[in-house]
Amino acid sequence: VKVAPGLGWLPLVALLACLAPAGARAAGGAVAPALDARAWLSRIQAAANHGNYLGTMVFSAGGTMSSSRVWHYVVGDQTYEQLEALDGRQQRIVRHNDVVHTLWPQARMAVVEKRETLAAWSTTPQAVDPQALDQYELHREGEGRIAGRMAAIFLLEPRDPLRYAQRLWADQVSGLMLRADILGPAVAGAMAPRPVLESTAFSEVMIGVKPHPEALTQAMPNLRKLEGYRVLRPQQQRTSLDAEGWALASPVAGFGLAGCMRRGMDNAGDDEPVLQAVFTDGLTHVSVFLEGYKPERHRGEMQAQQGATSTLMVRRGDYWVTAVGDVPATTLRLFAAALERKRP
Amino acid sequence: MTPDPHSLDPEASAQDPRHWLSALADGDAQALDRACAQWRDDGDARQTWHTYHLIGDVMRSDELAAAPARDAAFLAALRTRLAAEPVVLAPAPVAAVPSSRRSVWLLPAAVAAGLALVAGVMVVAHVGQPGQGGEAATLAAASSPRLAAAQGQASPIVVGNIIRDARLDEYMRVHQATGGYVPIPAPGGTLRRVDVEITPSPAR
Repeated sequence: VKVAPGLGWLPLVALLACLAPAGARAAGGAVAPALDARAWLSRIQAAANHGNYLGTMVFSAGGTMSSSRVWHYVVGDQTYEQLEALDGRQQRIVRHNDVVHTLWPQARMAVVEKRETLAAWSTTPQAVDPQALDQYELHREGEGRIAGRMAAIFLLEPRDPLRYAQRLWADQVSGLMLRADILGPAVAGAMAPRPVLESTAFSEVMIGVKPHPEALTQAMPNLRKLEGYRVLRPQQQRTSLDAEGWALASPVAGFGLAGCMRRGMDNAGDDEPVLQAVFTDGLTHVSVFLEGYKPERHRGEMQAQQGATSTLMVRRGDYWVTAVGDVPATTLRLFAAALERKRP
Repeated sequence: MTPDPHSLDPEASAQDPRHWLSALADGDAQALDRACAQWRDDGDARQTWHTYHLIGDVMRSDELAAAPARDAAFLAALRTRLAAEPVVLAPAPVAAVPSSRRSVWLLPAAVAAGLALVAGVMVVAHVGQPGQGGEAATLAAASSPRLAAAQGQASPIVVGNIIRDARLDEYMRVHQATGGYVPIPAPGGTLRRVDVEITPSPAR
């Protein structure tokens, strides 16, 4: 079982937060004291990874809305999680520790994958740079009520225009994130509040429930056999940019390379794997997919945005670059230009 | 505008007559005449046309993947049924005149409906085309009128992923599934975005 990234320094941070002069925390209002801030972020992280909760998540972006049911159980060192789309196409994601089954019951399709985490990818034990959140300024914004629970509100304000601001609502009691909004840049000169690009929130949630992992496994009696399903197990092979003949020529400010993976594209009906490089700034992440350019497959270059998620597809010589992330499109353009082919 | 915006090498592409079919399949109205002529004269062209559309269907949704034999069987059955339909040649009785007059009205209306349908398809297809200048808002971008407006493009507002691309879908899914990298994961973040497909009410 992988230790969640960053938890290594959680006890230390919590201890320091307790030892910090009370005045530092009582400052309140504007910028939250760094230690308090980090302690809260660690609490949010720990609650999501180690809590027992179930509820309904509502996701809204660009005028569209969808909801999904969430179950998260931790029994000893075993983690069970299930997500089920309640709208549109049926989709169910069942995770037991690192093994993730994604099922599309209507299409009788299943994808079985191994969940890769930062901690699992990193070669050093210090997976998450404690300075990562230096890209954002954390403001405490008081209290609010989400899904019938009292929540502490935080605003993570980016220090540069390469990323979006986020407003987080964390459960006062457990620290579980109850709502997260991604905010677009303020319109110059306008007094109006910044636009919410997308919002993810629990509409109802039960925290600290008794875990019933067997209910999840019972709901999926054929999870192991998956009878009648077409089961895809895409290749997932950890690698490095260097081994693949790429180099990070011009890093994007504030983003570090989290890992690199050779990944099968079976689900898109393609035999050839692509290279996925993941970058993170501590709060959000960007995926850059690299593959050989094929005129019959890669049509026009394009740039799209859905909610906060931008997508960019561009050709770079003999290669085709697809960048996806919850960042402005200009940031993706930097990523598309950041990687350079060292050798064919 | 070049005849085929997708072609990398216009000369090589122009020698291949199939590129007119490809262009029409992508909604390029300029290819209409030549592609139709080709379709009429060349049996291979008809097969190519079918293949292009099958590819398009599969790209949009795995569920549309079907053996070509099924389409052929459907077409054969349709032809048989059409052949079996009685041909209305008898002069219409006097009482039927209003209805036949109405059918005179109906015909252009039906044609117009057909044209409207084609136009609708064309508009959507145009959204999916690589735009002039490479900056075009395409695909899922159409769901964000903000972006379209920001780029000064008169893109139709399409709710949800109407134009689906299996490859892009997979990239988005993989990116979201990479939530393990996110130091502060939102609960349920891996399934943040679900496909809200709008199925036309008369089911297939």
